[in-house]
Amino acid sequence: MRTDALLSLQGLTVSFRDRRRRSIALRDVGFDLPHAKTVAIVGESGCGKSLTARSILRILDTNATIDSGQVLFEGVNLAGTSEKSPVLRDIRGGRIGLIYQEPLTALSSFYTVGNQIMEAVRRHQDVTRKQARERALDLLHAVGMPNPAQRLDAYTFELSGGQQQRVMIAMALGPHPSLLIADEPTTALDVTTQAVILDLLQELQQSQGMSILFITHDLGVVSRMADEVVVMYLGEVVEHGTKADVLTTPRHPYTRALLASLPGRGQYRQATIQGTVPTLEERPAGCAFAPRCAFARPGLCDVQRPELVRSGGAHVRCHAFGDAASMFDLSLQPERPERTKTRESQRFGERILDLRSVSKTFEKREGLFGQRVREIKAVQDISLELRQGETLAIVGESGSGKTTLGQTIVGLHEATHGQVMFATDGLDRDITDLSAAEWRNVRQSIRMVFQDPFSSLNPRMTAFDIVAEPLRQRPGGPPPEPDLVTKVHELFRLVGLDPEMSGRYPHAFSGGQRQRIGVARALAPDPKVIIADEPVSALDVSVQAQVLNLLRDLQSSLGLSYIFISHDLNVVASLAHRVAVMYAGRIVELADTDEILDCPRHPYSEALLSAVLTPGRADQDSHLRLPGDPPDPSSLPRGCVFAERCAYATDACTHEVPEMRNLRGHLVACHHAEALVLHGLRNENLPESRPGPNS
Amino acid sequence: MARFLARRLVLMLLTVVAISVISFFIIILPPGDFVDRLVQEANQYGENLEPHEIEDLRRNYGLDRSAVEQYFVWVRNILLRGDFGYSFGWDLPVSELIGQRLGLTALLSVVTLLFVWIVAIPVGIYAAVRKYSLGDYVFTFLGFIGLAIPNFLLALVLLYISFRYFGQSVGGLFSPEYVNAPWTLARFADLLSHLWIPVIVLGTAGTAEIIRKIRANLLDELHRPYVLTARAKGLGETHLLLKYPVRHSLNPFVSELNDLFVKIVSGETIVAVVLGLQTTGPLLLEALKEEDLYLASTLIMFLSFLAVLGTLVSDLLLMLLDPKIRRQAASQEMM
Repeated sequence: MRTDALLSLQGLTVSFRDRRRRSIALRDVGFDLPHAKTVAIVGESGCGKSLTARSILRILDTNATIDSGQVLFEGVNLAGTSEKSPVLRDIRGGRIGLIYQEPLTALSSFYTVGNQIMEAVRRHQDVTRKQARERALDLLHAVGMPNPAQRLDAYTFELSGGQQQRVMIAMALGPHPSLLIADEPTTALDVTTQAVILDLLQELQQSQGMSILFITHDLGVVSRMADEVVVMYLGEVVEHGTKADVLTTPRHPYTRALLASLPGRGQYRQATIQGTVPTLEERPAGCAFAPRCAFARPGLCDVQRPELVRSGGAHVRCHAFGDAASMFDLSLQPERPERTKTRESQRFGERILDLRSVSKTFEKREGLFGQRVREIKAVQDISLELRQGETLAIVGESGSGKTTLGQTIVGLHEATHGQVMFATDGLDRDITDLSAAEWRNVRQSIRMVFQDPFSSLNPRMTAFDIVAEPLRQRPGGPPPEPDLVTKVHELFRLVGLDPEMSGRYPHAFSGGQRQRIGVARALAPDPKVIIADEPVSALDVSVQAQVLNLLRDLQSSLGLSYIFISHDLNVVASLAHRVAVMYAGRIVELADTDEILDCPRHPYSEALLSAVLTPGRADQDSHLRLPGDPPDPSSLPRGCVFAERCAYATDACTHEVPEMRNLRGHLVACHHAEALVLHGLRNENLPESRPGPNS
Repeated sequence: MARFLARRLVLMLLTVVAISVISFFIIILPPGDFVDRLVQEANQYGENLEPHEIEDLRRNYGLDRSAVEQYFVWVRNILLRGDFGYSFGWDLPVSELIGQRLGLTALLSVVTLLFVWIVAIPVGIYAAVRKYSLGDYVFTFLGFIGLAIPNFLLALVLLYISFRYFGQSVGGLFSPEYVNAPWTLARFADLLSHLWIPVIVLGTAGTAEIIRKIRANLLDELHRPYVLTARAKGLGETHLLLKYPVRHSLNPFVSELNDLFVKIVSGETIVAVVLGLQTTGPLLLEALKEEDLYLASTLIMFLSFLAVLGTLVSDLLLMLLDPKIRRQAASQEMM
């Protein structure tokens, strides 16, 4: 244990039990958390990050037990106390605060936020109701809540996601804890909100001298927040060192693979980690990572569990750094990805989709007998083109209308205004007012891949039937059974799944495999256009890379066109040829990917880019942070929709809606586009500047 | 809030009017009326009524008019004079006949409902928190028995027990000496000593169901993130259990409150027949059999009114309980 450690985990082992077996979930976890520093725990889902946090606070589910090890915090071994001991309960919330992923579900919707903050304060400090209320108000001030006095009596569902997370932070900080555990605190938030919340956490840490244990799967967030990094895999610490050690000279093959599978700029095939994290019951003998490791030595790695050894300033659990180091050549890098395509627009084929002033307005009836109609302008006046073989990304915060636009194109919503021209078989026709029978034809050509691979597959159908369904629904009648089987098996191979597995039900597949089934289902009727709505955002980075590669391969072999809806600019940067930025239902800027990333022309694009976090990228100035929230789509402002939050807005902006103008290849809707000098990413993050081999 | 209530009361009124129409016409709908039954009965005794006698009877009972006319006369008399019509079978005004019985039905239903809550809520919470414990299994077992035993059988068993071991008079809600006595403290005590049997009989199935429901709802809530938050704040287990998951789990239960209420009111008939209770159930059954038009319509209308009232009460409780619903009602008011 280091002398400056506030928290020290030593040999912590936690297991889950059910009636039949016991499986080890945390194995021998140990690290120190120094005073007033931030330690980040990273790893894919299922690697025990959150479990570590919950073990520290002893708020484990009843089927989990701490088998051995110590959790030393301010002189108390938390692992050795009874779960009901008053000492432990005083530490929970009092000395250690906790915030986590989804503030909406982490707060109760039945009590005002003031009530919940005051409760935390009064639990740990001897104050009157009135004093507690004042303290709660101060806390809301401190976390930058707009209108704190009013918000004190608000319920969670009346606040935006960012405001909810501020409440969580205020509640956790109320009793002045010395340690804050932040478990994926920004994962459910938009990038712009994430940037603001991360700023806030750092400010608070400096002003209160707190330590933070920061749990995240996002390496960009790690590089922004952490002093030290703990990499976990299948419940074990595989690498531990300073941020510079771990992110710039990663040692453990898992750490390297994680970093390499981050999406980079340009149409690259990304490096991937083969397979997925095994379940706890299937923990490999020997090194947990060996089955997926490119460097694994048979006879050693799959037999003997490596010890945590010192290497430079870091600790690594890998045979390549222990006594058997001579057997390994770690200078071998995963294949350097090839740049597969140039990005020049001339290469693309004919125009295939042409949206002309498409709008979608939802009507909500209100009043005593539903006589009043409130209009929600979800998508307004969208014009764009998609060419054959091209990937057009649509980016924006949640609520910007991206998903509605995609669903309107595939006919899941009827467009209120405008036309969607679809060019196929020599015809160029408007598909917004087709009959149901004609739609069935078009639906064969424009297909959708959904975000959530868990809920978008019918759990009562086999994978085979899921993929075969669109073929069976063909307007010309289903193909004969043998042809169908051949075709479905071919589709399985195309998306990298074993046709042998096609008889299984969705629950038997992992998240990445399910998303492949979703892609196969979309490909079944030989479509021309695929609309992919956040297809990788529910997946871990290593699996995300596999699915992105699949999408790239399919595009180059089948000449598909993609509309790729995403909030993740790193993914967009790696996959898209052109990018449309949406805000409050409108496109505010549309240009080639490199153009928009390097020299954005719209202040909103600039703000989005400034919030992008990538390991190794220098911190951006916080003056670009977006204050406030997007406008309510049922009462949009009169002029430019972005004016309220725009740092460059003038009077004209609040009165007049800016026209879409073509400015040297950028379509941009901003009154001041010519005059502004905006910051983009430049090329600072090309894969060439990625962490090199271990030296 | 006031506007929400006003809106609900208007809707409630419309519902009651609709129910009165439906209940009235459904009883008129089958061929034949009360006079036909009288003629039939007379025939059985070997008497033959002359056609003009039958006509006179019809006119006396007001059955010679069209159904629509009869309905409006009935409604007009209710509104103007509080006169719910005349029971052909009992030869008494309907209001006299049902007054006390309606009161007893309401009392029995409300007491049963309270009994169900008082037993089911704590037991349901216990069964969820101590899932798979001995207590959970015992309550589950008892609950299934409660669901499986038919009401009339349970009623007979309890009657036997109360007669054999407590020496109580069998059947009814009062001992013979109190049946027609004016309300006194002693009569009330007598009522209570009889009430427990129908309350248990009527409430058992409902209690078992609610225990299962609360247990299931609460099990869903116990592992929600907000419970973890509360625990991580350092709150004590009992305090946080009652303040957070229990409160969250009550929602579906309150919104189903009215279903339970309706079940009790309609399940009461058979129990009342077995136990000889002076409630509305047996009266309604008899009135339907005899095509006693006004008595049956009035009873159906009042029982439906109780159900509508129950819905309103459960909605108001839901508003008290759930701020989200409260705020929605408030935002509708603002417009």
